[in-house]
Amino acid sequence: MELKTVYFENPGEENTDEVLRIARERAEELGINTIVIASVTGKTAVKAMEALKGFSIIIVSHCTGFVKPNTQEFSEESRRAVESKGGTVLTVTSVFGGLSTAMRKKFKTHALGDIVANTLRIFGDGMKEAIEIVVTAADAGLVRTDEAVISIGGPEAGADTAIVCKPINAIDFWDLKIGEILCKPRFL
Amino acid sequence: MAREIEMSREAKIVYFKKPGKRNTDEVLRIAKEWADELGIKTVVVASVWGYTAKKAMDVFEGMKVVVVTAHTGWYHEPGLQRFTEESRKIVESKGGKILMAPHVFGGLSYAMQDKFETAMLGVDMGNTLRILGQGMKVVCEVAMAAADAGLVRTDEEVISIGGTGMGADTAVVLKPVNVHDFFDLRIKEILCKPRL
Repeated sequence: MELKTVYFENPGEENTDEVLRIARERAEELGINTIVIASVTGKTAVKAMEALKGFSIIIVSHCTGFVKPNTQEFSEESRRAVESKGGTVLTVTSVFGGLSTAMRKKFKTHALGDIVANTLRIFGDGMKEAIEIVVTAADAGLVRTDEAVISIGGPEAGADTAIVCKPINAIDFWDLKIGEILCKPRFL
Repeated sequence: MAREIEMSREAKIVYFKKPGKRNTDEVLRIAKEWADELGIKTVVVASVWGYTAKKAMDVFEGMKVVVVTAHTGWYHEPGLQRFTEESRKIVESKGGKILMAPHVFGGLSYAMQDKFETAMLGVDMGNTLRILGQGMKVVCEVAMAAADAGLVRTDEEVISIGGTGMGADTAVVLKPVNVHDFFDLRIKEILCKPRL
């Protein structure tokens, strides 16, 4: 089966609109109803609610306290915008971060979550994000593990990667299988 | 003549219905097409018995071909090397290089896994890459093994080919890194893989 994939010259926010367009097109072709999207500040989330109207949208934010205690980077305005349009914003512990980040911060040592995350980063930060959030959404009960979704990730801001996969719970992580790679940066 | 790589561009990617040997000829054809398109001169090919290696020597005639075998003593059979003498002669007679080396993700990590039933770094990393297919784990592994052996440069793109058990089912474009720089590796393009 020969399909299209799009390689962006560079990673980052500049690719967001194109990623959302590609995701919509492929979701329609495959009959996928659910799209999971990583969004830190809410900017990508708000764009997605417009570009992906009609789909079930799950936005996964950073955990609260990611940058500093008691601080949430996802703006209240964006949260309201997403929810008013029927989207869901999920704010929970990061699957690859969590205790692994605690180990790194306190003991300057890399634990399993860091190893997994950095291994996935050889395909780009966006690939790591797209995979992490789909597992997060499954653990939150927001997506089923027997129905394919499109998952969209990026580096700190914006989106540059989209994949098709069936979500999986974190406890079954090694059984995750990535179906299609719709777009990613090429890292020239 | 290599095409200059454009900014954002649409490329094709081939998904095979199932992993495994049956995809080998198509993987090699796709890899050759993209090597010509991108001006890539070197291909790294994983080959346990020599099945893929022998085919690759014909398809990639005129290119630098580095064949990476499974390590000697695979599956706890000391001294056993599955890459056949016949395959070796064919590859070398056609100018290919054969590399027999420890598995990058295996080695001591497999020793820990087998003896103490504990997953160590290499096993965790290998399993992470397997979520994109066994072949994806292999293409990374053989490219780094070739870099550590000095058979490929780390500043030039190559096509790396791997598979699941026998044969080939995955091909990517990457710039090799040494193992100690693994986390700086970036997979640039995925030419084909099983659809898992």
